[in-house]
Amino acid sequence: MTNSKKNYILLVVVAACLLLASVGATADPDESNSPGAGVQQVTETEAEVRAAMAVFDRQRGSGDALSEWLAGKLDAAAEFGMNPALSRLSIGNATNSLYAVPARGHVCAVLTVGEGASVSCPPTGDVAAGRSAPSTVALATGDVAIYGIVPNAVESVSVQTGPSESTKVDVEGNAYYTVVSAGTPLKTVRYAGPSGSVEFPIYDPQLVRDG
Amino acid sequence: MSYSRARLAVLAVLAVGAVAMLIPAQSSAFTSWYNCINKPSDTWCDGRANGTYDGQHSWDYNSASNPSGTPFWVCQRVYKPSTGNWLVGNSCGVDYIFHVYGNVTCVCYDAEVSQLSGSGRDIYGFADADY
Repeated sequence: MTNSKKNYILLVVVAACLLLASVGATADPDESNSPGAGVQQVTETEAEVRAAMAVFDRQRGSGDALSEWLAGKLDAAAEFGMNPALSRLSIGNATNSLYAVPARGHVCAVLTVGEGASVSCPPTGDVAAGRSAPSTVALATGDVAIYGIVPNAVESVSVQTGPSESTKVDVEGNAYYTVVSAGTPLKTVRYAGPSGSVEFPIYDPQLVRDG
Repeated sequence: MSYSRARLAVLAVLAVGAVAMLIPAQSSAFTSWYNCINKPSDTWCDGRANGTYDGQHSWDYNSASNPSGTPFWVCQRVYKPSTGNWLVGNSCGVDYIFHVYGNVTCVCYDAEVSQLSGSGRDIYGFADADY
């Protein structure tokens, strides 16, 4: 093979490497699609959140703080601009605790599970209007926790677990939380808020089928 | 130095540059943006089919999001195919849900998402092995 041919092959290889490198360096085109990314962290609870959720009127105490480890993780990512330093403990429990954490245009519900947490962040407008949906998370026992946040006017929610089985769950600190046994059929969560009665389907995350 | 040697030197410098660009791109692979395109309802997706897949890792964060403007339920889990088990914390919520897992050490998990709209939909997943 002549030198010029060798050089030509080398040039092609290098060009291919450069092309690959540029693709790799600019990969993750979907990063911008993350709904909570790139939002400036709030430094104080927004007025709309305070108006909708009385739990934020309460002076923040040491019991309102998430674990240092979890707070650090959530603070570093600050999804939707959430600030764990402004959290309030809504429901304390021996195994799982539910915190309300203000974000920018959203309020996050943080349910501790082990040392981690399940997090959902409905828009503040939905929370204020009484249209925020519940979330579900599977626990170590196989039981399923159902949780959510609601505005001041809501005092309880109704969890439907069968054709006629309904459980009233009291709201504490603008939040609700209940656990149903593994295998319990999940139907809906209902409550009456500023927008009237709403009803949301609920799902057992353990029952989604393998693809 | 001959002309061909000089050209080789330039090519070598370019090759080193290309490798240098590739290394940071690969080291950021501790995160995975995996899209599941037009996935059937009620089925887990790791992005391998109709999407993107970044392999198994010690994912300690996973999120599922609905890219459409129409609300529907999405779910996430961190799954170990070799055993058929998953980390505690499978969760579902409307439009966006994420779970912060504890300390995950085994580099053996798939991050998966699903949607429960009742028909085929796109779902986006994001997993992080160093959240």
